[in-house]
Amino acid sequence: MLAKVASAVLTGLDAGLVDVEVDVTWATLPNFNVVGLPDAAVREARERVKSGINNSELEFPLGKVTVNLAPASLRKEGPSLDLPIAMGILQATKQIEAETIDDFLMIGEVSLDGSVRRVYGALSIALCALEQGKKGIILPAESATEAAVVKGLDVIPVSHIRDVIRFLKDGEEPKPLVLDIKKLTACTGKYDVDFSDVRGQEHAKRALEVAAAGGHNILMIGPPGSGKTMLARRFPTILPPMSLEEALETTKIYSASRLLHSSISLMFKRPFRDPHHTTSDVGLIGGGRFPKPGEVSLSNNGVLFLDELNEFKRSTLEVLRQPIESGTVTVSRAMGTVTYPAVFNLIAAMNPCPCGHLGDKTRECVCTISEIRLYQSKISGPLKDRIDVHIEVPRLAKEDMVKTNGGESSREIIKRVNKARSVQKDRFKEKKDMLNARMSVSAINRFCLLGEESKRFIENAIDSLGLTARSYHKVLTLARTISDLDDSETIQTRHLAEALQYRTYDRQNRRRF
Amino acid sequence: MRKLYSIEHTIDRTGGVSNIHTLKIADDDYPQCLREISCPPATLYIEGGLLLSFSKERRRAVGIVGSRRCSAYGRDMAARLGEDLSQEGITIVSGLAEGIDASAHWGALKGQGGTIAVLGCGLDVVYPKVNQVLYTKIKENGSVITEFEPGTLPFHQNFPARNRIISGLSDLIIVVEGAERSGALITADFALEQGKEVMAVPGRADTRFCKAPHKLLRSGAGLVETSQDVLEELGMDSHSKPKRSGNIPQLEALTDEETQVYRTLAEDSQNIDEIIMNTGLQTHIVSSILVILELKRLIIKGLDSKYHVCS
Ligand SMILES: Nc1ncnc2c1ncn2[C@@H]1O[C@H](COP(=O)(O)OP(=O)(O)O)[C@@H](O)[C@H]1O
Ligand SMILES: [Mg+2]
Ligand SMILES: [Zn+2]
Repeated sequence: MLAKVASAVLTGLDAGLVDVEVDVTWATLPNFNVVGLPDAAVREARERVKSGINNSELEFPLGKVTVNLAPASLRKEGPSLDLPIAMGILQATKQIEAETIDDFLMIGEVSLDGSVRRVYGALSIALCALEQGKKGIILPAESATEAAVVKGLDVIPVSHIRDVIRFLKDGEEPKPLVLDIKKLTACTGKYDVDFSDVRGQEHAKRALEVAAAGGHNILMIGPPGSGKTMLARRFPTILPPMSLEEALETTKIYSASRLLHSSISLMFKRPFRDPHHTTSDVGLIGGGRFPKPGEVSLSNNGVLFLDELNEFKRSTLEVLRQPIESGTVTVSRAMGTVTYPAVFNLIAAMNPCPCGHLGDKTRECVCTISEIRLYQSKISGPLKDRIDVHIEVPRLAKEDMVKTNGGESSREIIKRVNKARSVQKDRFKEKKDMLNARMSVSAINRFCLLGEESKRFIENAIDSLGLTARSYHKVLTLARTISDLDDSETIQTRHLAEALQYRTYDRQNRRRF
Repeated sequence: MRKLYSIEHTIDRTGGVSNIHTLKIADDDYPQCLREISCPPATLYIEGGLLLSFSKERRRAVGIVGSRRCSAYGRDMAARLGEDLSQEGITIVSGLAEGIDASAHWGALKGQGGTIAVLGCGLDVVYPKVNQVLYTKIKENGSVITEFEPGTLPFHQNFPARNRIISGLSDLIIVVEGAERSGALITADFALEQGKEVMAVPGRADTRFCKAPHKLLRSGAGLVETSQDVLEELGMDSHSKPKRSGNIPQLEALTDEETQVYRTLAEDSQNIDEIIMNTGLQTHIVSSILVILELKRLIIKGLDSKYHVCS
């Protein structure tokens, strides 16, 4: 007899429907065959499913079992089709006779003892079930929390094949998992760290506030121990809270990357990723034989922190260009390509000189000027072009650390950031998720108009600082953000002046001694 | 062992050699003080007019030497001594190297005494390349000289030879910073051989840069705290009025807050967070004021993140 069970597999971040068709005939010797582009893990389903069924007081048939996974064009990877295959076999051999089986989509890995184990990408698969008009989804209890955020879908958590059979019999147990989305969103934007932890560093904090308000990328230059990492880690706390849509997207990425904790249903904290400089290109942008999102996608809607920027290989930094430019990353795989989202705020940090102590009051720098120049010019040009804010973060002397207090909390700062963000929302109403930092040249020309006085000021600055056209545009977008924070419709001279302060690397004439 | 220089990175041919002036030892304008040293250079290649008037007028000269690798303190001292002595009409002689040499030249360019740079390579070879701007300034306002013919690369062995010319041109040598075995000590040795005075600026005792000056101080070199010590040794009185009188240029044109920032910087060079603390002004206001003052060329930002008032 022929049975059909609905399931799904991940293709990139989204899931595609897979019909698991099982046919059992008794005419020949025992045989098990899977067709429809299965990978090795799927083909091995036989051993798991056979033991799983036999250890659930049921019988694995001694006939010829043919499993067809349709459509054949979708590549099926991993063990998540074990459960639908098992249920198909039981249905085909009439060990269960459930009319409701068509109403549900099933996923899960089966263990030899019949228990059902966690699978990844459950949120995307649940969304696929909803799209397909299914009444519900039957899936491992460990994967159920993330699927339960999908509204309008019965999420049935199961731990063993027996649970599935019990549920299909009368539809009573186990009960669908219900989450209170309101309760979930209540913890939005709560972080373990806060800007008030940072003493002094008023300049750096203000620069980070400007960057958060306009979505600008940042480079921090300072000696070891000056607090660069500490500041960067607190950057997500002054970004606006994630919307439900953003949280869903981020959760999908983490689920697909197997990084989502089973107790977490939705990621409401903006991610902070700090890949080591030895991370491979694939690790950074994603890909691989079984494509997985890379660090740029794991930082989607959050922060990508590149510490010790100078240690990264130039070629590694060049691959960041595409995601920074487009907010997405496309990686190739066996069949076609996958595109992952990669909208992040880049924060880079580096020492000011080879010995690290330039500008450090407590230690003497022993580098020559040419060593310093060479060191600072080593950052890849294309990456530097995509960084709006560059600031120097000096190290606080111990006595200053004691003297100064923590200053403003993230809650105070985020109020101003939110205000500036809402000004931008009005400005770019046609374009969702648009921010000052992402303005094209034509948008800059339209939204960054200057009055007579500020025009004269910036012209003088271009001459005496030797600004390039590109950095001139950066200054304008920064000044736009600063004026938004200042609740000023026009860009004033003081806004331009502050913007120039964040362009450390545009200074050509610095005192050498 | 670090390479002294790398040809690819540091050498840049300036092309035209037309402005180079040569002086043979027999020429009238050849500096008398150089004729008096043992093995004087047979030919001098010169760019910039200062050397001629220097030897005609028999001006006083002080050599300021030290190591390329040095501390901010060392650079500050070299620049200050260079400027203050130059203000007294003394010509500052050094080797156009990075670090102490460059600082001394930069300081000297601000006074009337001017500065002479003695190279260890041909005049058309700019070494080190970071000092390109300085090189041009000295050619315009002082002199760059060498005994090596155009095209000569900065070989290791050229530098000790170069040092004998630095001491030969100078009445007195000041060593600012240098490690145990530094070129500055070679220059000091030449100076003593040539019967010149040697003085030294004490260094910070907890760094390796103090080794060379302290070695000299131990063996009796004169101690330099300010230019006054040097003037006394040379038997000169101070001509110039006390400087850094604190009269602020274009002060009227500044707002109150701008004046406040300028004033605190005139007291002491500071980084932005220190300025914020010392003035009590809001962070974003200080940020923009610093840029405005910088564009008015009243202050300048150093590589060490500190802002300094321009003198
Ligand atoms: N401004 C500061 N306020 C409070 N603590 C600080 C500050 N700067 C540094 N620290 C302390 O020093 C440690 C090292 O700072 P870190 O951020 O790792 O420096 P960096 O990344 O620049 O090397 C921090 O964990 C923190 O405890
Ligand atoms: Mg760090
Ligand atoms: Zn250093």
